[in-house]
Amino acid sequence: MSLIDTANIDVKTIIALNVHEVKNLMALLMFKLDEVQSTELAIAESRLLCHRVNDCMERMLLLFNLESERLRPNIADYSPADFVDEFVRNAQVLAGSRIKIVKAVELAPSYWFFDRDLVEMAMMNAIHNALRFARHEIKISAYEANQMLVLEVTDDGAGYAEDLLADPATAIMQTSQGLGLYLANAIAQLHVNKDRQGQLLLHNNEHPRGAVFSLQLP
Amino acid sequence: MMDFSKKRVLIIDDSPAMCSSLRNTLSNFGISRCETSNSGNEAVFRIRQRAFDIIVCDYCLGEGSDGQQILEQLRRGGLIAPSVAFLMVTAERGYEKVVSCAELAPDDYLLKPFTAETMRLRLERVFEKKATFAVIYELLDQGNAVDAILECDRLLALRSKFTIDLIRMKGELLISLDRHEEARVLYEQVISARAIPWARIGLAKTLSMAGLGEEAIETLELAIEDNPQYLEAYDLLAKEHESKGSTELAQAVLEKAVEISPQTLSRQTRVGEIAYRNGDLVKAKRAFGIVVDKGRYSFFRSPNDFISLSRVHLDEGQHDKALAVVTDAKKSFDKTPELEMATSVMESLIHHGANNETAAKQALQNALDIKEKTGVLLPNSSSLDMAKSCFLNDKVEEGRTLVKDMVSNFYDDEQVQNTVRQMLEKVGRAEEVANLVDNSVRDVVKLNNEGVMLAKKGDLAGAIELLVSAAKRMPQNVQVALNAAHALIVDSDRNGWNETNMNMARYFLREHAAKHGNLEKYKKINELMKDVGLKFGVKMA
Repeated sequence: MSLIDTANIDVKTIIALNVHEVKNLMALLMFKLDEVQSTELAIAESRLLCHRVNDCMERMLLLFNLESERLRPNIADYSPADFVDEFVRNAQVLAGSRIKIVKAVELAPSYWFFDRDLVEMAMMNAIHNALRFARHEIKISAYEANQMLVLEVTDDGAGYAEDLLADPATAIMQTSQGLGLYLANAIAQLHVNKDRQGQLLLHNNEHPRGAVFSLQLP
Repeated sequence: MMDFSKKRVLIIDDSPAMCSSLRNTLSNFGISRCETSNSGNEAVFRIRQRAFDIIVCDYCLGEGSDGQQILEQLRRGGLIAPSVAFLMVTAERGYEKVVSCAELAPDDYLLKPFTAETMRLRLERVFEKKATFAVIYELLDQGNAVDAILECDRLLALRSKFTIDLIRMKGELLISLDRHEEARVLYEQVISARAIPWARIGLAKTLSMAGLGEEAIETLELAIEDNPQYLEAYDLLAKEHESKGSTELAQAVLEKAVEISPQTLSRQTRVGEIAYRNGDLVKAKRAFGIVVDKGRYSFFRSPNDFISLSRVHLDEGQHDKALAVVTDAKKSFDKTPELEMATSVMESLIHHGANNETAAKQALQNALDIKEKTGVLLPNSSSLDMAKSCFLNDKVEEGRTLVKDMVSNFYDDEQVQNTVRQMLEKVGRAEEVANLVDNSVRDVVKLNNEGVMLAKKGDLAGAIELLVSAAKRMPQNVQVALNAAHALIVDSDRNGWNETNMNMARYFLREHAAKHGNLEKYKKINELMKDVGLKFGVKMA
């Protein structure tokens, strides 16, 4: 006789318990890595890998929540400058001496309404991608345009693939980077103010070459 | 970078590994005075013993306790100053729902996993905000809401990133001062930019204060439609329905809120009470049962919930069960005169129901003796039970006195008067309603006028005698209390400082400060008290 009768297992509860456990372990792992005072490349790379593993898990959870339509943004007011500052400081730790992180928040409004946790997830994903593809520099900026808060991540890498820009819907489902972009767009669209909806805009800069990830929140 | 080296920190997490990791992380910011605690109860014990500057608390603490409960216990109990930074840490993405809907929010929260750098930045922000609000908190601590509003205005003119927080604070202060017209304009401004839930709630409050109940209900229903998690909206909506007399709608609204958040026991209690008033014994029993059961280890539990549950069992004719709940209450709480009185009253009703007359009379006598000896007061529902028991157990005169006191105490509360009416009908004394209820209300008004007349005629001693004894008999009656305080203060002003009288006046004022501190009459008498104090060189804060 088997020890546990599988029919009695509530899969959802078990998944939730495990997700909880994984997050706690990820938190411990990140703290441990933060304690290591080293400029060694391997440490910086481990940090980034650790963050990417977490991104993957967050993506799965978000997808699950979108699927079951349980996702409602929790809109509150935040300072975009402070918000971007957090990414910049964290990106600096991850980039080490390899890549320069530039911040541009002079044109940011003093406060804006958005779901901090969701937008943070979309931005982190973009930054982690930029850290993989950038050659020397990443710029993270916040500014107001057309009554939208624009949060932008610009790198100086090879840029988005042409077929991704031409047909994002198809390309997006084929890679893990694509899934991240799909979710970033979904997060932007969850932000609605009166008759306007948020969106994700992607394009490449030519001079200098690089990808631009631009989240627009009403 | 901010200097954290002087800060004293408490970390609350049920995992020792997480505690030590967080402690290491904090030590990297220069924090050396750091304590850890693996359980909520132990943490509260520590906080009672010494002051901390930063509390980092995990939301999931195991064993039916969570960080939000700890936070509410600390803030409601006044165990932590507004200057203390409370950071919630959680692995649940769902926590943002908890925090956005809770009346009491932590200063900030962090979703696991997070980096040391993120934690440091969030702490810096929290202290930056506290520094901005420091003057406001100080003014509020001195009870000076008027100047606190002026300080809000001064800070708002700077157009900082705290604009929205300042507006929220100002709105709440305006409401507390009954300046609902100004508050309404403020909330309408916020909503025109963004319909955030707290602004809608604020707007609904101001509409209700302006007597626009229908508009308030509409606003609240809109808020619930957009944010079904925002529980405060249900509470207010239920109140609006109830004040309109739609008690069944009110019950339905509260039941929905309880479905969303079954942990909040105070709301379960309210469901039980309103269901009981609506004659819905099944739902009342269920709600009180949950409160008694789940509240066993809670900080906010009350014997009243046990009594309420027992009362439902009694109404259903389940005498054994009713008695068992009363016995449970006696075992679960410290023995106080209030507890003994309330349980004896309930026992007398149960015994009477079971046709055990001797035991019923004995229990009632016990309760009456305690009342006579200690003069302690019972919650309304138990006072009503006591009166009922008196009528059922041949203590008719005592019953009448209790009913009169209750009605005079709540002379402007129709709900109380209705429950009294219903009780009298139940014990077959419908013919006494006019005499006991309506006359009592008239008597209070008459007594009040008599007291005021005596004072005007210069017979301060007579006025004091009349009003003070009345104020003691009906502690909820603000008019009587204010008139009594007034007479006491005027007496000192004219006839010389009387320490006992002035302390009594201050006591009467304080008892009504929270609910009626904004009444013009209250403010005037409070000012007079201070002035008279000044005249005699005594500080009457």
